[in-house]
Amino acid sequence: MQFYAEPLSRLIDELRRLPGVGAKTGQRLAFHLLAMAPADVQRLADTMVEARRRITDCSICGNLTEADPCVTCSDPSRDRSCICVVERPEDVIAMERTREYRGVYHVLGAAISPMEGVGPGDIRLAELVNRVKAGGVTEIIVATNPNTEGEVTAVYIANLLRPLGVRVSRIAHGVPVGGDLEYADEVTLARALEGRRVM
Amino acid sequence: MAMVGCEGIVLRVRDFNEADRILTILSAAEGKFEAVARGARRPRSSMAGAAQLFTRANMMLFRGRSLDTLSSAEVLSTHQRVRSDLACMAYGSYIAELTDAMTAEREPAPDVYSLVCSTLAALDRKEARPAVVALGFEMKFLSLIGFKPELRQCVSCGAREPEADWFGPNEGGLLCARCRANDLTAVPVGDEARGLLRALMVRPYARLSGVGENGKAYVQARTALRRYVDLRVESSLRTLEFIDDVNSMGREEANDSEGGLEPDRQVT
Repeated sequence: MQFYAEPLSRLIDELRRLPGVGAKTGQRLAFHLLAMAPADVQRLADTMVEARRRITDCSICGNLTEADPCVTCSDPSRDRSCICVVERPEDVIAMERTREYRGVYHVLGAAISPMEGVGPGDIRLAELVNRVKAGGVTEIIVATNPNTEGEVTAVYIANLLRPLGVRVSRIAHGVPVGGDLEYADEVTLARALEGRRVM
Repeated sequence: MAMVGCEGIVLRVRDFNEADRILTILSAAEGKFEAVARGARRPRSSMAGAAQLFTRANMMLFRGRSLDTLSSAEVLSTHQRVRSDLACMAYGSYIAELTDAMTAEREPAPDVYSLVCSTLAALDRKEARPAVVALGFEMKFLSLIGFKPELRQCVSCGAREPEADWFGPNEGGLLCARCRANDLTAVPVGDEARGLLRALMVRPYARLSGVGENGKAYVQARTALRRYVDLRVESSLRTLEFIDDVNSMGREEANDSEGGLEPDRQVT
């Protein structure tokens, strides 16, 4: 039995292709779109198409950008001797929010994951090696996520770049600022102990 | 909702919603089941450490209709080395995926749980040889879940060794030269390879450390077991493709005089 009119059914199917959107959420979003004014729906559709058309990957760092190279890569005040390696463009935003980091970035696109079939050849590692080989880089900060995939990616990058004579460091893991020790899990606390520093 | 406690090991992790993770957990008493770890991707989550692949933990769970919810966890082992070495992680992931593919949900599996724990512990050792450990796991695991191959005589006519010097994945064990036509997928297994297959089945991992990875016997035993596993697992395993890809990449790079991607150690 056909519950929805055909265009509505197609809209729900398309929305369900978005991450985190299941049948219920797809239906809710579709009904909301149909309740919106036609001009608002048109503006939303135009914005989506335009964003997709105008945003590309930076040819140097792989971050999302409108102009190539991106704002960070073309900023003369940035320290090009230090590259922070992250998994995804969202991680660049997170690092930038710290307002502490003045180097440049390298976005891998993903982390190595045997379960997902993502191998070292599927992420932007060759581009990273080429950037280091081009010279002028003294430090690579590996800021992949502190999970299984991020850890193995970090170790792989360290092994890959060590022969090139560049310093490879890993962001510290430990107790979050403002958190109580009592509520920290054992793994995080153990990492915090490992990464302790002299005061 | 009822609350239950169990010791379990995380076989698979998937991101879910904004900051949650869905874990596939194997436990002795509960077998394989899924549970959601709410907020586990947030840095302040007390479950972030437990909601990681290969973590063994004492867990408290709220029983749900389709999905349990992880309430708290005390980590017993993170298998740190497995998580930080590409070869160990690749084979560890294969072990987890094979277990996931071949076990039924909510069926108590104390022997399988114990085998997975001891296998990951073996992989976690500094001197571990991941490919050999994985081969041992395949043989022990298949034997445990009801696919123990016949390794003493021809499964078809009963001819004893050394006459039975073929392995028939379809037939489920050794075949003699006369009966090997019964199984088109049969592969030759010499004296040493047959001995190795039996050793993989019964010896603990510590006693497999002397197995050479380049000899003819190893290659024959690996080929036979791979075909046997392929036949029993009804879907293709992503982790096996990953291992093959990384191995072929390693071989290409070894032939490339300019080096290219040169990992610390090749997955073999």
